[in-house]
Amino acid sequence: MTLKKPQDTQTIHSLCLSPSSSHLLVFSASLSLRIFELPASNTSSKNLIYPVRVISRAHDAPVHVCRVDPTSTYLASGSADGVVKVWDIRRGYITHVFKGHGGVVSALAFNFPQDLSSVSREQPMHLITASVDTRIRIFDLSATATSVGASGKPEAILEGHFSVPRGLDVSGDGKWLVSGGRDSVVLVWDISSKPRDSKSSTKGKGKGRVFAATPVKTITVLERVEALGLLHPDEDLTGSSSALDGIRFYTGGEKGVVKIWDGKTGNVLFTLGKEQTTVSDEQEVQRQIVDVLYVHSLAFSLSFLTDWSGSYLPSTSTLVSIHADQNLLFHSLSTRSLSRQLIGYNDEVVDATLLSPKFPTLPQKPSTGDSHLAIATNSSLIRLYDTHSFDARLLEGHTDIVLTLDHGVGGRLLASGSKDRSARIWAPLSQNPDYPDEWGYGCVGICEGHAESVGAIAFSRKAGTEGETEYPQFMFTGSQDRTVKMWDLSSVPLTWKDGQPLICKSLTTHKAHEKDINALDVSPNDKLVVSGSQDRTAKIFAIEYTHSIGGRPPRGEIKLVGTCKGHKRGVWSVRFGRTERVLATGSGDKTVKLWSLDDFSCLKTFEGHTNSVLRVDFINMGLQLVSAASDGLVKLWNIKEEECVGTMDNHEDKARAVLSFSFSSENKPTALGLGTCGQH
Amino acid sequence: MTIHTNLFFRFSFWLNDHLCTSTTAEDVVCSPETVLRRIFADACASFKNARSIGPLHTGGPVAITSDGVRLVTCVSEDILLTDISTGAEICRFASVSLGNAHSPFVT
Repeated sequence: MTLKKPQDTQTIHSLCLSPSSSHLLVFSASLSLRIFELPASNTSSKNLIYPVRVISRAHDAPVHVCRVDPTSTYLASGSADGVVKVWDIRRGYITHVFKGHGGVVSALAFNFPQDLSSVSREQPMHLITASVDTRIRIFDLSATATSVGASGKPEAILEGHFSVPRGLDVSGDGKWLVSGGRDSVVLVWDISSKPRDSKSSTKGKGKGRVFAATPVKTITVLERVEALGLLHPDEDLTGSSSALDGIRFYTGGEKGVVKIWDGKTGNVLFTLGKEQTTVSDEQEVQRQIVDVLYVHSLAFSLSFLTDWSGSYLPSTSTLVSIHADQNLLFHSLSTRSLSRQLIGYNDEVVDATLLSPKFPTLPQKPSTGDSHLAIATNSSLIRLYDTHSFDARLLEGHTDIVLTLDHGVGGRLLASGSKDRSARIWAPLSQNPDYPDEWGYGCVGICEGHAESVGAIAFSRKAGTEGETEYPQFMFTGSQDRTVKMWDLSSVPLTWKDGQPLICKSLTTHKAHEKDINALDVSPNDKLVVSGSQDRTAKIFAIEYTHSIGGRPPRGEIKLVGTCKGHKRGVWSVRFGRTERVLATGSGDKTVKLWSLDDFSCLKTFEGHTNSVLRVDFINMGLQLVSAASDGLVKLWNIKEEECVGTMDNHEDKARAVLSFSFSSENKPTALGLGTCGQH
Repeated sequence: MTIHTNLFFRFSFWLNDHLCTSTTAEDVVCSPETVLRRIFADACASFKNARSIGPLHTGGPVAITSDGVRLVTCVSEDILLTDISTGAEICRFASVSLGNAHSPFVT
């Protein structure tokens, strides 16, 4: 057990990295400043990195903003009580203290023009601060460097915002200052022509030389600005014409998109990300941008490019938007497309399925099987991961929690069933010439008709073929309304293009059980379908399906052929054997049972789990069974000897429940995914 | 959005090299029973947790290295350093203060 002081176990309020990527600086609710050195290598280590220095009471109030100067020498921190401190990072002492901000310090920026043509080598360094009193202050750091806290008065105070400024940035030549605030306005200031001895103003409580400048340009942004920054002048924005002396900046805020602006004209050059139109207020709050990070690609070394070939390359400048829903979106500035998305946090994993999409959009990537994974969490959004890079996409469409997933047509199509009483079919995006790097899935079919939530879904195992082209055939859904529905998918496309999803037709509806249907599976030859229910039974139905011939629509029917009775609690999982005529079921009575498909008698019972068995599947040519249960264990069973031959537990995490698993390719179990829920 | 900070959810990939290579020529020579027993004995041990999709960011500040390769995020009170290209966690940063910062015995 860790013996932590209570104040040490508190929220991280602010952190920043030095531009040289050598140091990480962290301010937490304990008011401490921790200075870490970043490890040199990218290899994963289980070791904790300890701080090289801890300043236990760096400020008297929480620090919400911090920034390191371009030379990675100084750290500036602004606290909620209106104090800004400047620190020497390597030596760990305070070089400057600036008091008198009228409240929480909301933004910081260093101004350190590095003009190579300049004769004088000693350029003055300035610190620019913003606080909730809406004022922007400019402090000269070189003037007071020797006398700590002696003068600490701003060289200039800029007034113009009507609400708290959240973003500040200075152009590389030190001429332009850009500020953006929650008053939905961005102001461009010329700070190069500061009158050194302007008349004393009564503003700023009459303290010192106060220079009340007016902005040279006011740009209405029409949304609260939470983050802002200038783009590097050499940034090549394809298609956007910009004057050489012009400044361009980005903003991010409540609308959840990043906008690139021309500072001279005040026009939006382009927008990164998609603005959502049909979302609820709550969703809108979730999508808000809380911060934007700018990675300027300074012609990365060629060795770097070759080292990482094939994987994610920050070879183009990237803007990373951080959203209130904890998603991180990486936007490429050159292609203006989403180059990467990282999902911050997943809720409980309720179902998962591996996918093998054939993306026409990613020709450079070899189309290996099981390249992607779809996860249903406690959310209406399906999470789709690239299993090699963990680059993720969110699939939106369902209006309530997604409960079940399945894949069809060789892993190309994804099906989902939701609490919103509908099922949806998803297909890989077809190539968009404007955004060649984009990938993802789009909704191509909707199945509506169930009266209650759809908790089980199963595709036909074989794809229909018409000449060379494959097409999906049919699908089953099982619902809390106790019915099983069979859907015609024959006209569902295998790729998604713009447009409305197809409304799928139901071929048949069968009242199958006395209680909720928890699970469905279709036999490998598409002849049988099995349903597992909360009524403690599993029922096997024969599928009668006729392809559409000569314009006649396809027909489908299911007929009950047998019932498996024997479980003492609800059946949570059903799975047909791949090679033999058997069926495996997992139940709330903590057992796994194996049934004969000839007389529907129970052949074997596997006991050993200490809680409900939630998933069961055959592996190793049908010689073994794998079961996952809410006791947090995955067990491997030898079918012939009816005994548990192995137990996997997630030692690291102490899982409380294994909620789902998904095998890579049928009959070739080289990878197993476990969705677990554990205690930290 | 409230996050249950003591709970986390994880999706992990377990790789099993044994099962996919279990039908080698050598195995065929042995009796099927022997092969099966060997597979069963090795099966569990040979499953290795290859990769996990765990929590990456539950709110709070985020930082990225200037080369765009590494990312710093917070998961409740922990600070994580992540390799962006693979999504793999590189390390975590200790939350202890100076008094026990250099003690390797804090577990």
